[in-house]
Amino acid sequence: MADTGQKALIEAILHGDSNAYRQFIEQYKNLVAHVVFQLIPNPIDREDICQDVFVSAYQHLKDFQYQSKISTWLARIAYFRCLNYLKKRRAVLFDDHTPEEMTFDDVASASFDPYEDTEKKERLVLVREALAQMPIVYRTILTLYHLQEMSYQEIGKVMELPSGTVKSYLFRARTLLRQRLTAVNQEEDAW
Amino acid sequence: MVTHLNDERVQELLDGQFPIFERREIEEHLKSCDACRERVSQYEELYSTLETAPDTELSRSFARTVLRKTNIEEIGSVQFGLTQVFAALAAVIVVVNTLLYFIEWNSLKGIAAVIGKSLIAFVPALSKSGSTTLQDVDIKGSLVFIVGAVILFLLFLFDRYLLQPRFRSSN
Repeated sequence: MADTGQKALIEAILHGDSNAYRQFIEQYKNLVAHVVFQLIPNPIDREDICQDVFVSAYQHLKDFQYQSKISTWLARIAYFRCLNYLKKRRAVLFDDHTPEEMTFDDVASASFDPYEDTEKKERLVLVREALAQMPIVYRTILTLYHLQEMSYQEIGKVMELPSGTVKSYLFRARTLLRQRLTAVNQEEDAW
Repeated sequence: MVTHLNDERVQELLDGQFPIFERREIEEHLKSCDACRERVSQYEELYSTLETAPDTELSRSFARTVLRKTNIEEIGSVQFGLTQVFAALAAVIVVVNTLLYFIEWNSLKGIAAVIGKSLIAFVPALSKSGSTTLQDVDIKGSLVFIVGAVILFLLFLFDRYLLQPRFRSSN
C-alpha cells in the first residue's frame, strides 16, 4: 500500500534519522490536526494530543505492516487517541456535544484570502458551529471524507466501521447539516 | 425520465457516483426544475464549506517538541556530534600529515611521523615491519591516505553498527 518513498522514509526513521521523522511530521501534521481539532473542544489540549499521536506513531512505527496507507494508520491513531481523551472526560460520543464558542473573527482569521466575501465567511461560521454540535462519529467522517479525501473503505479502517455504515453516516451527517443551515437561514430571513 | 432529486441522490450526484448517461439526464432535469436546482445549490455550498480547511495551526516548535518527547532529537544530536568529532579528528590528521609530507618541514615532520606511527600501530598489516619504533616507520604519502581512509571507514562502521542500534533500542 505504501509507496517506495514512504517506505524509504519509514526505514530512515527506524534507523534513527531525526530529519526523516521531522519530514514525516511535516507531511502528516495537517491530517492529525484536522482530526484532533475537529473532535477536541478544548484548544489547550489539542496540540498536546497531536504531539501524543506522533509520539505514539513513532513508538509503533516498527509494527507498521504496510497493509494500509500510512495516512490511514495515522488517522486511526489520532481518532482513537481523541476517543480515549473524550471518554476520560465522560464526553458522550453519539449525543450532541456543546461546542466551544466560535466567533466570527476566529473563522475569518482562518481564511487566507483577504478578498473572500462576507457571505462565505458567515456560511463558514454557521457550518463550523453546526458541525461542532454533531456527534463525533459524523464529524470524523465528514473531516476524513471532505478534507482528507479518504474513501469509504479507508474511513472504515480508521474508525473500525463497515464501509456501508460510513456511507450511511456520511449521508445522514450532510443531510442533518443542510437541514440545520436551512433552518438558520429561514430564521434569519424571518427577522 | 428523471424524478425529483432527494437528499441522497443529490449527494450521490455531487460525489460523482452516477454513470455519465444518468448524470446527463439529471442535468437535463435540473435545467427545468427550480426546486432540485436549489437543493443541488445548497449542497454545493455545503460541500465547498466542508472542503475549506479549518484553522489548525500548530505551534512552530511542534515538530521539535515531538522529537524531544521521542528522544530522537537529543539522540540524533549526540550521534551527530560524536560522528562530527571523529570525522574532524581523522580529517585533521590526514591533512596535517599530507601537508607536512609535501612541505618537508623537518621540525614538524617528526611530530607527523609520531602521529603516523601511532596510527599505523593500530593497523600492523599496513606497516612494513609491524614494528612500533619510530625509526622503522617510513611515512609514505599514500600510506597516510590509506590510514585516513581506514579511520573514516572504522568510524562509519562504529556509527552504523554500534551507535545507531543502541540509540534505536533505547527508544
